[in-house]
Amino acid sequence: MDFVVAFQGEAQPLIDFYQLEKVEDAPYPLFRNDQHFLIISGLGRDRAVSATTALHQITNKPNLGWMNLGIAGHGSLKIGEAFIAGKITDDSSDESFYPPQIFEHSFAVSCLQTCSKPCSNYQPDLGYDMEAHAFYRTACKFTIRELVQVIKIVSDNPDHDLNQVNPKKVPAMIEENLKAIDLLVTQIDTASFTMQSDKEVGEVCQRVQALHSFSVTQVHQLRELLRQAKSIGVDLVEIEEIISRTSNARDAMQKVTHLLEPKRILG
Amino acid sequence: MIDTIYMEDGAEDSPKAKDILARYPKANVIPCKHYKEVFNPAGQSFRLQKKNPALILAKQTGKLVHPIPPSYGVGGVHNYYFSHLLNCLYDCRYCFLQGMYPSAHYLLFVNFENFEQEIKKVTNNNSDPSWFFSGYDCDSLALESVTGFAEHFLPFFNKLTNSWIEIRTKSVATQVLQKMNPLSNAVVAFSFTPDEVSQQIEYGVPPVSSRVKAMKKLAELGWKLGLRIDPLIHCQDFELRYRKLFEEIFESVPEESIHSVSLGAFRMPNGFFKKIEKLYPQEPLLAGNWEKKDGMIAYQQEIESELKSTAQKLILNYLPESKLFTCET
Repeated sequence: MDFVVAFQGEAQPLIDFYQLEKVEDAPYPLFRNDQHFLIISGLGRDRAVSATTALHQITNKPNLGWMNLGIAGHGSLKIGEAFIAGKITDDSSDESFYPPQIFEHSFAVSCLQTCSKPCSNYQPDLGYDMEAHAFYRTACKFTIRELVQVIKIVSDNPDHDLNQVNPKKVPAMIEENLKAIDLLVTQIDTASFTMQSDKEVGEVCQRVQALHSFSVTQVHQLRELLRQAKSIGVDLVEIEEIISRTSNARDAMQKVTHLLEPKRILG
Repeated sequence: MIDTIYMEDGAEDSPKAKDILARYPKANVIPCKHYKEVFNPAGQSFRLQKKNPALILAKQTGKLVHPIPPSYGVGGVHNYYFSHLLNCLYDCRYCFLQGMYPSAHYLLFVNFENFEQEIKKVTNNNSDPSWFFSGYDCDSLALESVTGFAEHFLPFFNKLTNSWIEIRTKSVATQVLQKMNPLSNAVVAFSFTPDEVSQQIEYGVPPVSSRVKAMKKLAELGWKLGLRIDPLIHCQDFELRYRKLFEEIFESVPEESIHSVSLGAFRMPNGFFKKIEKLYPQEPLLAGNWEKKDGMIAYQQEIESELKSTAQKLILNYLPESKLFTCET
């Protein structure tokens, strides 16, 4: 999971919970462990875009999970209540996003508006932040939409406006919701894992290419043959052995094609 | 079953939308300007969404009734399809919907009355009977408890002379039909592959035996039934499995109740097939003996001919050739 968080106070509970360690010499405050990265973007859309892009350049893998987490105002929900954004709008854009709600969670689902400046004109059933829209648009360039989610904890509402928010209380508000957040993170990470390309096919393809001189087209065809072989239950080790006994790339492709032909029938 | 409902601006006033909202009071309702904002964006995963699809309620403002491809009919001269719903409860690995739509959300068009008006208009424009197929972009019955489609449209067709409706399904949710008198101008068509095949590639579909039982019940009540053996799937023991399938069906369902049988081999636009391969790279079905012809993916000609002729031979043991229709690629 790649977390994008605006402030240190919002990030610290995640850093502690996932035991993330600071990465030195990074362009933004950056923390990581074996599974997760967290970047602290700072306030506003532009910083969210830059930090999300920077984090992608560091993690650089397709179909990862992404989460923007932080505090937000809300027109109806209580202080400390967490919500997941079901719709994200922006006060300076006509573009709306609808993060697909496919995971189980205990959060309220709410519309969220990203604002150019702090907002105290609360509308019912609407949350307010300053990064989510820019984050979502940017993260969706790097992964599939289902794996990008925005979680906000309500810090201010019509009964307790922005001026009354005590930054020192923010970490505790996030901590209160960490268990539920982690349940969602686990589901997103599991889904992300299922969307990764097959390592074995890639590795065998690499090894086989070293045996003969394959053209670009043949490499593409070879990768497809290996994928199909695996899907119909043919051991890729067997294919490697067959190819090792062939005289050239063309011969290798023919032999593998011939091997698969009678097996291409549903069981 | 439905956690999230996206409501298109203007759809919330329709009786159908109000009815659905009342039945799912715990669902999260998210407003959208147009359903395409939710349904159409690139970068969605059909496969992930299929695990928990949302329901989108919208109005169809585009074309409501479409002509069907030539040779896909079951004896009618004028043939059309209409889609009140896009996407399906079931998850069949050969289904073209996976390749056609960017989203697996159920998109229900709630303006049933506009579909009715158009169907009436088309019917009145033709002197020969018009056929309307309702299960092209969805299963006609599987989401009946949500959509109320059959409950709404069958009484409409009951009053509409010179027209036929085909309800196409893999569902056993036939209670709605059991409560009505059978329509003389309706065919309830059940799609089948042999059980061994179904279990491998038709996720969520009721077993063959349950569907045969549902057919038997409807036959006893006087409904006209259709059999849709489409797509024919190239599988081990093809002849044995399809023979067993037909035996099971015709042991329970009398030939007189069968209005028509259609046979069709797997075929799909190449672009859809490629997209499905990316969604399910480890799916054995998709590694079959395919060939590309005129932009379509189909079984190699020799295999396709063999599947069709074998299935045809088997089915003609049970009914006359006049009831058999073949969908050509």
